[in-house]
Amino acid sequence: MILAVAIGTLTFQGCKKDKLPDVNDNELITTLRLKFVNNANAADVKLVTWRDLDGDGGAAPVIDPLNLKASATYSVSVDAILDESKTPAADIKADVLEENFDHLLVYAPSTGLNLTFSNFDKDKNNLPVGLTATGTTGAANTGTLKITLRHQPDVKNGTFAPGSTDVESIFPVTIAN
Amino acid sequence: MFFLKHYWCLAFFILLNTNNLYSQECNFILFGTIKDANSKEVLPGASIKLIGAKQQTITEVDGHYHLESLCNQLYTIEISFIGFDTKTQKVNINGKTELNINLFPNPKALNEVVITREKIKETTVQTRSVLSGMDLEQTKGLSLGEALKKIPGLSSLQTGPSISKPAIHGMHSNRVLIYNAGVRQEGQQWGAEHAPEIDPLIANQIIVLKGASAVAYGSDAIAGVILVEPQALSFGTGTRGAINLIAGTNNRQGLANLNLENAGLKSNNWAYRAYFTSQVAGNSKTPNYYLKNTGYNQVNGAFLLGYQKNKLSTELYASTFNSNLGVFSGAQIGSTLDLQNSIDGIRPIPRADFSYEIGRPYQSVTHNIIKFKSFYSLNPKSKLALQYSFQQNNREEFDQVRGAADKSYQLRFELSTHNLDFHLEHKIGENIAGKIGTNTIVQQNFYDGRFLVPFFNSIAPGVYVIEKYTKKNFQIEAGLRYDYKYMKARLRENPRVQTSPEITPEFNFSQVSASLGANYQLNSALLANATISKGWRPPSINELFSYGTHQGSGTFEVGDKNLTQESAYNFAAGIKKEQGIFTFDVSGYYNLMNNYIYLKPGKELVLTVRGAYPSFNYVQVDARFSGIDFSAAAPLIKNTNLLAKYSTVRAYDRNTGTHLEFIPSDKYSLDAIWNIPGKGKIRETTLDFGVSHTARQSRVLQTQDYSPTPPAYTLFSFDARTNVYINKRPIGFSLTALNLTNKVYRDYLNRFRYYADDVGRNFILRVQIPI
Repeated sequence: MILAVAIGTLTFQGCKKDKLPDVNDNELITTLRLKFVNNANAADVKLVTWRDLDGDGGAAPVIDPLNLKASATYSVSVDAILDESKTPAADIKADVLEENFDHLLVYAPSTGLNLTFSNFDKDKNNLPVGLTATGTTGAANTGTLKITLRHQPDVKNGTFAPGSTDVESIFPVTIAN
Repeated sequence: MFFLKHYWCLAFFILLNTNNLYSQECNFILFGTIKDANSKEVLPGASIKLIGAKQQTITEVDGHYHLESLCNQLYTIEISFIGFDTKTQKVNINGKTELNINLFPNPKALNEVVITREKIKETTVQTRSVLSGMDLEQTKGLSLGEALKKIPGLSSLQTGPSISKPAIHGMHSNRVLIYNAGVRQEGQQWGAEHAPEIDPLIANQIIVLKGASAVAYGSDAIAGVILVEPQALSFGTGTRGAINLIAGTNNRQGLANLNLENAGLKSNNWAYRAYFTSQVAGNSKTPNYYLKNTGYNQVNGAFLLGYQKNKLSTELYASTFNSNLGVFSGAQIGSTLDLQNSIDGIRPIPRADFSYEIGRPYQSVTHNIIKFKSFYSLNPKSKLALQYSFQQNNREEFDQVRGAADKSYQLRFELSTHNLDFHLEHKIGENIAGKIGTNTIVQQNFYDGRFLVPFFNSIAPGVYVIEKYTKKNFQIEAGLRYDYKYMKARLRENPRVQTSPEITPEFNFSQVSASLGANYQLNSALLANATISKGWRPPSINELFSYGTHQGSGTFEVGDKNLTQESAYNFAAGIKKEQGIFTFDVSGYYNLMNNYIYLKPGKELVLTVRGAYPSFNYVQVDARFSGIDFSAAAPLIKNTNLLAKYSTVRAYDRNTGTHLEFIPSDKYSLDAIWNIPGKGKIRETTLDFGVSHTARQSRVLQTQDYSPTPPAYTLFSFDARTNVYINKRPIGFSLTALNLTNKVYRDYLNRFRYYADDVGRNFILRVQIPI
């Protein structure tokens, strides 16, 4: 019987052996797009994109600068999280939204940058998600904004530390009058 | 180990003799002549075995035998010879005792010439250790990698509690060949988290050959060879077998194992044995918390069928290994920041309760083997042997991904291996015996999903000759082998870009392996050996082509397709005493490795979408490995024996003088073993208290690791076993306690040491019921 099982499974399903499998990194995120809408002026919309199409290693990511007005309040949202290495591009934001209780977007302005975030959207456990937020600028200066998407299945507690990073993108920020 | 096995005899003898223990010398001799009871002709080649002791011998040309180093006690000896009735006799040894025996011919037995002779005491020129008897029993329920840690010089590379990969003298993966029931195991050695796909419960002994063994076992065997050996089939014995039930408290493991031999079989020409193992284990527990997602389960089976008649002996073997292994959730990191936070204690260890559930990330591994082996005796001096095997390894890795419910594996490998070996065993005159043969391995690998290693095809033919010259107490063995390997890979030039052009790089590797060794029996108890050997290894596919992040390793691995073959020059010598009250085994080795391949931390960080990763590149350096393995046993007080073991390895980059990473630190252990023979229904009781100390690996520089190497630790263990006789059949009970004091520790060779403590106290209870 064991013999039969062994012989049976030896010839069991094979890979598609005639062609190389498609490049398929399920966890790849190539693109993160942020949207900043000035609460004082709905026509003042900043859409900035961080894009690294070849994934790990290779070419450096292409990043839009983020230019904000001083002493303003913005409605911030994550406009898109995509895997553009696939055709059509995979919508990762939809996955994050669906499993928002396992995800956390952490907004980390560089030290000294006059930009703060608050009022994050919440998941079912009343923990922040970060797909939407309120951004407030102070006096004019420059720095960077690091956005990290943390995947925290079963371990999310509202802080950065648990789980692992899915994507980390850094935008240069200029706050001007 | 030998010593311990020998200890049984020793302890037994001590028990029988209530005289002064310390003046007792085991220096008596038993000798005599074995003759045919009818014709009165002498019988050369008859086997004389001391039941319950290690010693056995065969009669010389004149029918004469002698056994030395016997103690003043009652022995049972068994005399057997092909075509004669086996005779068992008791003999009381005192001084020089003569015992002449006449055997009666058995015409029935003579017609069915037994070709597979029982193995006589094997004296190899190479340093070797054996795990058998009580030592092997004590490891039942543990993985192969864990079990082998009992042998000095062996360690295991851990990936959490469920994955354990054996290392000999600090070398592992492709440098350690594992023979599973005589088949060179071809699993997927693409990473440290790929454990051997072997059920150790099929073995009745595990032999470890330390040092380059390329000539006999093929290129790659630079560090040594592990032989997982099932008991040889026995013909005409009738039904035999056993049921093993094992339970462990730490991960609440349950294991049932059945082996059954020759049930319903009448023929003396046929024999079979079947094995079946089913095992389930849940989350392991450190002294303070459960390790989330560290459960595993296994279903394994094997079937061995033998046929022998006249000059032909044939064996068919099939086995299947199926396991699901959870990978500790807390070790899943996105970038080095997560790793650093774990080391700094900022990143919390995932909370977990006990559960048998295996979630992502996990591995699902299947390994199937089918083997056909046949011997044909051309004449009494030569024998042809043919072995063909086919094995297939299927490995699926399920990563922790978003929307996992509707997704399958993220990575699948399928490795198929054909292996054909054909050789002639021969004797030249009275003193020379050897074999000459050829071996060919054909391999094919496919993958699906995430890229780690490419498709490849390879063919590796080799020819070899080994001859051994034996004269009295002296043996010299010389071997020569030539191997060639052709490999063709298939991948995209940039494996991570769909539109990158397809390439098919080809590789040719070839080299000569050689060995020269000798041993000298100084007296009946003392054996010295020395070997010098040269081995080599072609770079493996992952060393050539890896490009990406390993699941949970926190490193970006980059292969180098320009790597050349690795060569090893190995010198080893040892001396051992296997008989008498004091026994010991000490061996040393000195290996020079040219173009030794290892993963070196790169200078630049690779920027991934998850943040910065340190890159690790496969590089080649000239290395030097040296070390000592030691064990010794001596009586302490009545019925109690002490067993001490020590091993040390030093491994340096010869160019820079730095110590290599992932080399085991010094290890010491001491066991006190108390034997109680017992009377009536409860017999053969043994108690074993053990303590082992693992030193800190202090030779690795701070810059060679993410965090300081873990501190030294001391663990206590306990093992008790006994046989309860019911209807004159022994039911074996045993209890093993590991990490008795529930010590909190981390081991340097555990890749998950950055994330969590090692496992805490574990009681393993076993029952063995004979069939």
